[in-house]
Amino acid sequence: MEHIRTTKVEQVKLLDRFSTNNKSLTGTLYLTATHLLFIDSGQKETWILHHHIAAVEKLALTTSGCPLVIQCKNFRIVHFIVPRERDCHDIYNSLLQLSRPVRYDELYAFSYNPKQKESEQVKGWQLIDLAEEYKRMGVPNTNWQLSDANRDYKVCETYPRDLYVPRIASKPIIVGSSKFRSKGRFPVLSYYHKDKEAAICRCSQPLSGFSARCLEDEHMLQAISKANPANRYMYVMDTRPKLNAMANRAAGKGYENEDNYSNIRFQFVGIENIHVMRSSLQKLLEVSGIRGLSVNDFLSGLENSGWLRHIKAVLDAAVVLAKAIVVENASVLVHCSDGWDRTSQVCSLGALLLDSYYRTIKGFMVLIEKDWISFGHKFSDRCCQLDGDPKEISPVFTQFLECVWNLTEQFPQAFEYNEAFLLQIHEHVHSCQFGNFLGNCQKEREELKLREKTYSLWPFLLDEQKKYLNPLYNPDFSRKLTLLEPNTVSLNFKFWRNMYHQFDRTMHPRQSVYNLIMDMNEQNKQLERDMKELEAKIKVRNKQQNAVLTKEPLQSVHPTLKTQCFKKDQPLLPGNDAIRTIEGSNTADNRYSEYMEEFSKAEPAVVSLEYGVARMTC
Amino acid sequence: MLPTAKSSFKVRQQEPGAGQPRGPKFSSANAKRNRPCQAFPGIPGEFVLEAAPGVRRSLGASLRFDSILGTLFCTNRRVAFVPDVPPGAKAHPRCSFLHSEYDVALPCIGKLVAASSVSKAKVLTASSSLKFVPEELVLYCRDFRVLHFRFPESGLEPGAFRVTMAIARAQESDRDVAAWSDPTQLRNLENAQRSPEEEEDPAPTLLFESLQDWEQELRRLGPAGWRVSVANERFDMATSLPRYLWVPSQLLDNELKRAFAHFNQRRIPRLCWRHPGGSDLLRAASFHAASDPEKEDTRAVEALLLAGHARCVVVDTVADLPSPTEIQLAHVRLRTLCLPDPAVADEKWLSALEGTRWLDHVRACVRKASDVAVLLAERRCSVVLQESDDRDLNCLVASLVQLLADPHARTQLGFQNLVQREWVAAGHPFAQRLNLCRDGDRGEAPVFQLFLDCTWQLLRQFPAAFAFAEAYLLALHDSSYVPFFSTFLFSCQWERSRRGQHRAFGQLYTPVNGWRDAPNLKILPQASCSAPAGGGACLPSIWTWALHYSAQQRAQFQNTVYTRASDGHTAPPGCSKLKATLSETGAVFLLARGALAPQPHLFPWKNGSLVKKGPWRVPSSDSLSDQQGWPSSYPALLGEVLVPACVGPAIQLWRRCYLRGSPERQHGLFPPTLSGLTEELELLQECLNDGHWRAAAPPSPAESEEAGSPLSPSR
Repeated sequence: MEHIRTTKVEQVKLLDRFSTNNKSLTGTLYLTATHLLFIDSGQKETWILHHHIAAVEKLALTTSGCPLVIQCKNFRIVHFIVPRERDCHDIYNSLLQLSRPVRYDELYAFSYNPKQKESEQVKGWQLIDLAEEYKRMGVPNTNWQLSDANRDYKVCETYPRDLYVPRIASKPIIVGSSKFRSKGRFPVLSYYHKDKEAAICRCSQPLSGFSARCLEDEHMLQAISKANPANRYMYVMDTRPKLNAMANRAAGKGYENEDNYSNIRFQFVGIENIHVMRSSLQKLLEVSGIRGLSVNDFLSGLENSGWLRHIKAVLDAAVVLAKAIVVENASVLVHCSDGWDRTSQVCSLGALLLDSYYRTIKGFMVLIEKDWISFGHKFSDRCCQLDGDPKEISPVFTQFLECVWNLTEQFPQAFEYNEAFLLQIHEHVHSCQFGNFLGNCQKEREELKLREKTYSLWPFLLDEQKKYLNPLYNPDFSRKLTLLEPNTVSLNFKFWRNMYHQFDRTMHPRQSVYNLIMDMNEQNKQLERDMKELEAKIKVRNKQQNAVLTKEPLQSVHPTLKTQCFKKDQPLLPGNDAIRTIEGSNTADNRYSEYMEEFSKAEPAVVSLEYGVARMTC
Repeated sequence: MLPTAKSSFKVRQQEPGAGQPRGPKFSSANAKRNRPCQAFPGIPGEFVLEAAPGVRRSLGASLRFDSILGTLFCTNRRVAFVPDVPPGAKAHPRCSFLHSEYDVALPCIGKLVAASSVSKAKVLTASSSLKFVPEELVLYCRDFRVLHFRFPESGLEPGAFRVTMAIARAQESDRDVAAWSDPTQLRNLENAQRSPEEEEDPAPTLLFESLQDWEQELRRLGPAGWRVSVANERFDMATSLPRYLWVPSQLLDNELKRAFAHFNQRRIPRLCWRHPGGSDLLRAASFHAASDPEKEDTRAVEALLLAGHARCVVVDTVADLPSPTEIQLAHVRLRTLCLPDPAVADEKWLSALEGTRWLDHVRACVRKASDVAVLLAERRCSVVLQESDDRDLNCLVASLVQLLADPHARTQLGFQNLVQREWVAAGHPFAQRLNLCRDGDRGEAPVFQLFLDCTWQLLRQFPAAFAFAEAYLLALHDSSYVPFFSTFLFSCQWERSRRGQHRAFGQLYTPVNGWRDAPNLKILPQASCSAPAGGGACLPSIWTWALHYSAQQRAQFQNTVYTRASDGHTAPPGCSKLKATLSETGAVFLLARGALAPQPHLFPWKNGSLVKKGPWRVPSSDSLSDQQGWPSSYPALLGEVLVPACVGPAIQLWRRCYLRGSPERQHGLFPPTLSGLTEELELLQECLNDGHWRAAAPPSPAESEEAGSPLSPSR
């Protein structure tokens, strides 16, 4: 609060970024401890979380006031014009301070209170259980086991406590291998393919330099390939471009020498590093931010930014990985430099292509929790949660989401979730509103006591999952596919308009087919409910009729009638049967027509129920 | 009476046309192979030149795609592929005589390539000699289809060679003869193909050839103050204009006739559409610079332009929009880019696409149209689209504006009426632009295809606003290259009627009400070929979709997410038409770059009263737009006007159309069409509706839970 000098400024103008004639909204700007709030004359509220602010810029004074441009991490760009320069300056300074928290406990997650009970908070954190997930994959089994080597984060600080390794890899091998790997990130299981008995493993680059070897590491890799009974050899995928990997050798790092390891096939897949990605995104944002945005500037700008090329490279690598598993039955070890950026991308996308579970809402949460959060993708550094080194910022996770989005575009029936789900996750990776993405690794998160002090995002997403359902999802179809094989020809990669122009309403399509289908879906469900209600009515009426029948001694004459009445306890009662029953009981002919009249009136169910009860009791 | 007409359906009985330059080799070869000819379901006037059985049609260039076994025919009309019917299977009813998947009309062939494993691929023309036996034949169609035919394994069979050369020659000879407009061969087509059980369309497409059509459509628009003029009934005022014109009712025909001379090609301003709010959309050619109008003439011209309004906005459709030459250039580049194996590297695709400038042209058209549509909705004035000849971009902009502003134009019937009125009747030079007869490539320009692309963009942005679907636009796109239909064969009504008269031998008079009047239409389907059919019986119109698309295909024309807009025109309150007298002077503005500018010198000649004083002048273009909120690019449905987004990412490539030739560049699992999905949804809904009332057995919960689940994945 000490940073806030002005809490309210009136007569502020909000400019539309893509409007051709400087259209603007006038309203009041409020500055709170957590948000910047703009309420326009139409009472429409625009909330901007301080953590979302990536950059604030004060432009040169104009006749109408002092322009203030705020760029957000969720690609929102707002352009305010504050009438008085002093106010503008105050807000500018406050935002500079507020958007750059220095300590974790200044983050919104520590003050955010959704008014949940403590038990709910605990339950929320237990929603995703990774042990359960490994069990689902089929480990531990005869070849793979849970290792306790990293119980106390002694072997590797950035790995989780629970790691799965080949059963034949003993603790000395693990420790030895970890000493030979950058940051101690030795090869561990990321995904196990039950049918093929092949595994996706991940690690960091070896400290091989020009000639160093490590027997334990060689044993470790051999153990991985032996854990796969179907195939003798395994792939080692270095996700870096070959040049980068070779340059690393000079620093005593590098890549595996095929001669030293038995039965490995080594391969580079050429995904650029975080710095290239950062500047590529920067270029993309410049292109998509041009005001007039003619088709002709846009497409070549898009191409020159290289962004889609990088997306393609990541997805290409995932396809190679998935094919090695499905087609060749081979296990694959994936690494990059430190094994937390490109490795996370490729492993998680590979698993997504292979396993339909990850294409469900819950499964996708599990996937992120497993390959990104637990294996130590540095969310805090990459998303700049705290004021830190700007060179550590990189849109690695954004790229992952964009790859997934491209897959949903190519396989509209294969995913349970829709674009909104991906966008919402992206929003909260940067919002620091929930504890999931805070910090850089599990050890750090435990030290921060996030489970006690903050809330988990996932239960909130599950609560509103209706918003995130893909109406075209076909679970059977998705499950039948053993492997999603996206076509990675460049022209199939599209600009993700709803990500980069999510807040520019000018850019949105005018109507969404998905929404229309969702509405129809909703209508269908309503009709179904109506039908069930009507069936319930019929049931009541039948019972009532049964009651009438039991009064009259006709029961023995119609034994079939009774059995049919019992059948009606089924939840979905075939309506025709019911009618036939009534017809069959010769007493009720006139009543039957009466019922039909009442049906056509479609009176509220409650009334008819009462009516039925009344008749039964009399 | 039609003396030479024969009600013959058997192709072989038809003698080859005398004018056909056929070598003796062909006819003898033809005689030798009787069997396949008999099996070939031809159209009258068509005869088989060559046939090769056992040909495989593969769905893509590479071998991993499925292929279909069948017979490849080359006739004097088209290249046709007839799939073999496996024994025991029910024969597929060929209800459509030009199967969109298998057949290519000869003028639609863009390039013919023969390939063999022993020699490199060769582009074939009539004069080229083939030095090898082709193993594969690839037809690159002008409508972006690419058809691959593989010849039987043995390869040495002479059939492959013969049919290839026959196609190459037929394609070329077709160029010379221009047989498609030859009346003696084609007049039977419609009668031959009309199946009697074909249901009569309740509301047939208006062809705008008769007075009734124009009057009926004018009634729909409901404008007081407009009338149908018959001044051009005998095309003596302007040959390229339609017979009937919508003009202000205050203007008498003799006053009207004064105006013709002062416009290029004598194409005077006339009404296209009327906004329910009172604005009028007009179109006209540019002023004829060399004319010397008298005072009376100027008054007539002014009256036409102002159309009873106090203000008139002139929209120069040439400015900001591509010329036909530029459109053609972009289209050629686009076609090259979309070939299965393009010359550009994969990673350069985007900039190559941009380099074609096709998308930029699409965007310019959409933007211009939305500017005009918003102008019509927001102000009460007359908007005159002006182009030098009023025959290309005026057609495009006028029809796009109506698509945006008139819900009726977004139904299939309304769209067909629109095309018929603003393109066919208005005299878009189809013969030259589509160049089906291939008499010189000079005037070729796919202006109509550009319009279809623009329409697709709108359809994509407003999926619920259109009653027709992408498949319909595709069908129209493809059909425009098929010369079996009269719709796109001629450049104007005058040309059409001349041919029509020529064709109707016994007819000595031109019917006063045009020759496509209602009774004739009714008789036609039932009439046998020898019956005295009117001149209209020459070629079917493209709108008889049943002729060339199966019921199943036609069902896909419907857009199932369409939500009906109120079709009735309800004028907003307070918009009752102000009667402005002709004597009132008006102000003229020019619309340029989304802003209005007062226009001091509209006429090339100097004595117009419009220029002298405008009662309503605006100092600058900006103030006008600020006054009442000039259309911004803010997404809104201004009343019923669709305002599309035109910024870069909003305009996209029509992949289903342009990338059809290379399925391998689409991805393996083609997403099921939305119309298919929604159809399924509607079906379910119907089931449920039925269930609701009859309390019938509901679908099992698993089925109805997810909308998509009952669908089998389409591969």
